[in-house]
Amino acid sequence: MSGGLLLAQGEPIIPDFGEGSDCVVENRFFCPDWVRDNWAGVIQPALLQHVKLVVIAVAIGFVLSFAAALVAHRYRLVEAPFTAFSAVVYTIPSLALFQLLVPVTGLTVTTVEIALVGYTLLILFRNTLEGLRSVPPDVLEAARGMGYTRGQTLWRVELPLAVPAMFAGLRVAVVSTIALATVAALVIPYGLGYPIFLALREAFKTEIVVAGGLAVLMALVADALLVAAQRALTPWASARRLA
Amino acid sequence: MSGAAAEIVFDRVTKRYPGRAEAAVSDLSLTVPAGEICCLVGPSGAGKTTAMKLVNRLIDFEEGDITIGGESVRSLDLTELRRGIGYVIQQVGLFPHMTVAENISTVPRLRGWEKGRTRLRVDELLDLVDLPAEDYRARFPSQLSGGERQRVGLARALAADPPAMLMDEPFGALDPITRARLQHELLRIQGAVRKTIIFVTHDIDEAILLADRIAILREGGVLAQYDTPARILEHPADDFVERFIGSDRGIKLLSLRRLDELELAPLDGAIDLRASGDTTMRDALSQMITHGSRSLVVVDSEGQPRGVVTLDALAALAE
Amino acid sequence: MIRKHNRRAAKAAYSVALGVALLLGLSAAAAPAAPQQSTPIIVGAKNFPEQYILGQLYRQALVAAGFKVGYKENIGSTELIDTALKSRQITLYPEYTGVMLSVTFKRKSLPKTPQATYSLAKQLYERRGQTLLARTPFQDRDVIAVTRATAKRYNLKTLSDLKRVPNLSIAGFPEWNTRWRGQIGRQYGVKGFKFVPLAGISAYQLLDQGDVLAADVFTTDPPLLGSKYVQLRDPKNMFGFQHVAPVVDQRLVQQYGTRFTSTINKVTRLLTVKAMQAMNKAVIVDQRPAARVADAFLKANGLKKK
Ligand SMILES: Nc1ncnc2c1ncn2[C@@H]1O[C@H](COP(=O)(O)OP(=O)(O)OP(=O)(O)O)[C@@H](O)[C@H]1O
Ligand SMILES: [Mg+2]
Repeated sequence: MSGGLLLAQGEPIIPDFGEGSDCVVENRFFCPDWVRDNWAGVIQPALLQHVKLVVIAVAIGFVLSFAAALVAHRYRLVEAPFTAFSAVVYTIPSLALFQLLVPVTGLTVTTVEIALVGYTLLILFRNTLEGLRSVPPDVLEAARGMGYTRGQTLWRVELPLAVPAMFAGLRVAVVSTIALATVAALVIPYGLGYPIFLALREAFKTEIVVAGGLAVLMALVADALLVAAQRALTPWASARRLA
Repeated sequence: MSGAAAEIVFDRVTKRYPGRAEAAVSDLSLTVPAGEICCLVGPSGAGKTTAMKLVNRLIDFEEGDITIGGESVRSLDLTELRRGIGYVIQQVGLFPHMTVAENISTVPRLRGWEKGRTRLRVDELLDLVDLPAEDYRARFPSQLSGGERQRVGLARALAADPPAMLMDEPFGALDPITRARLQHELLRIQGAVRKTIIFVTHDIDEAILLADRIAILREGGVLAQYDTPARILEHPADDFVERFIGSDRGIKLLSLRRLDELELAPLDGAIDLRASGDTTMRDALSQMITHGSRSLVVVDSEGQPRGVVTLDALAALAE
Repeated sequence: MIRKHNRRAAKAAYSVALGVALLLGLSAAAAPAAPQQSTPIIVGAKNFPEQYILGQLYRQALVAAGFKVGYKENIGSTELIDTALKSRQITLYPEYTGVMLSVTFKRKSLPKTPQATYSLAKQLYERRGQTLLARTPFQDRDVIAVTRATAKRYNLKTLSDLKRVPNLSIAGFPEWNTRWRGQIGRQYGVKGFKFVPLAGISAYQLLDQGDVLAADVFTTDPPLLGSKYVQLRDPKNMFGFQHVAPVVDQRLVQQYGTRFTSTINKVTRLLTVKAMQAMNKAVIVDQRPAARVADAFLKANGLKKK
């Protein structure tokens, strides 16, 4: 290919890349045609990835902090170190955390999940522990007096009564993880953060509106689901004095 | 350990809290006969609560022994011991996340009763404490008044039909009217179930009303006197007891006796004031004074006059 | 485009992170499988459109030449992508020569010619196991632009001409002011102007609306394609040089030799400012996918079969 050699030294051929619709080119506030064209390829996968990121992070974070809170409830000594650890993790900016993790866990979802899990620990641990400790002393006294063992007191009295505090923690953790999970895009093109960061850099309004809007919507829906779940699990907390 | 009432015996029990010079309970010996109510009274800090909690070992002790129905509390499994003793406290301590029915069935569930039996028992107990089961079964504690909570607390303590009950100032936080009503209800229930009850109070009037025997403790958990209310009022053991029961012990004594016990004078002339034979002498005296009358007609259950009691006769008894 | 490097924040954060020994335990627990014998080709790209295009160009050209290629795009910052490179999460990525020196190697003063900039960077990379392949004809660096009308009115050609403009205002990313205000004063005598930080609005829009007289933009921005704006020359090269050169793991060069390097260099040599602006326009303005733009470009220039 003689042309190739020539071209390599001179000016390249610039092909026609195709044009965007007027709405897209003029970057109007919202272009339905762009959403239609990119829903299946960009938006929907990003949304599902985002849901996955958040669900996994909060689930693992919850299990870890729940276990830690149970231990700290039993052995007070554990509280301070775990609080300190989770507080330090909480204050590390995500980019710095990624710097630390990438050499080990790579440019992967694992890296992102470790960071996201780390950020949920503080709030979930504190709330679960506060919840366990919020049980009124007379209730514990009654439980003991009636012959509940320590384990029965924990599972049948302290934990059920800690549920509202745990849910308060979960709500904060879920909503903040939905926001935080956008930083996943700094490591891999994954989740709603990918289209959002992209759109912010290009100042492309439709994408910001759609991806940002979906993140907000997801937070609202998740919060509503949690509130509903809590209502269902703790009918006693919403029961008020009858007239 | 369920069903029939059991005798509770304190045998030279001493309790010292770690790091405290004075004992909270000192060398306490007393016997509460089966089916009786023993009121522990005394000034604040005298060790009433401590003495009571030694029985179900919510507080542990080293010196002396306590037996229930002849068995040392120390020989029994801790949870079994507690499940066998009804426990009622002032703050009630109902489980906020459980309905009234679930609260009451706590111990039956711990003991593995079957559901049907438990459900029947709950309804029976709600009936006993005068809360219509239909209306109250499914409520949460937050939907009850203070008095209703205490009734549920009582029902919960009675649920597995324990031979003994411990009650720590159960009515202390209630208004006087509710308190009086619950006191009478407790007596009514006790008439039906006959438990051995250790009842802590620092209200001597409550003790006189409820107790078969009163144990008066002084600071350091020393037993000052243990006897029936009447004998304590008639023969206080020392100055401390005399001061503790108050200068009006004559009148208090009258509250232990009923008009039935008196020889009545024959009816003469028209007297407005009437009272039934089971009215306490103290109440009769109080009525006469309030109404400015020097005598009162005692009527029988049909309302027929049986005779007359005079102010002078009552005053003579109170001396 | 935003290609700014929030260096101080990242640095502070990094030192905090390093202090957390516990955390290392956590990450060690999640350690990946043992390293492979041969080094795989994994192309990385940073997180803005020009980088997606460059990443796709190299990746697709290599695939067309028969190589097996991994691809990771949208990596969050210069520091992070460098960390990924050092730990071989990626083994090739396009970087700007000025950024290499100022961000990756933390150089305070920069060489005075494009070639010296490139050579120094190459030398520094080679000390730690990477090297640079040929650099692009285009560079994507800061430039001050004004509208054609403004240029005509004040007869503006170079940066020093800005001295003559009354009530001068310049728009730029917030960190521009701290970094360049002193320099432009010392080197070109441009002083006492009003700085307008960009926040959520494009510099070109501000120029069009007459909100500012001049704006700091980047040389490959699509709006510079037409003749609507005039770029002021920077004869003293105050803004340094920002040609792109692929940073590659030296093992790749050893393993695959010239078949590998020439494939990449062929792509690199095609990348003129005009080409880059056109491709940026396709992606940014027309919202064409970067992969398809790269595909069309490689096919048009005979580096990929039609
Ligand atoms: N856990 C404890 N540790 C140390 N001292 C205690 C403890 N519980 C009670 N005491 C002390 O033991 C003494 C008796 O306390 P107790 O609670 O039995 O008194 P009480 O007669 O029930 O008083 P009140 O009428 O105020 O309830 C008091 O001096 C109290 O300070
Ligand atoms: Mg007490």
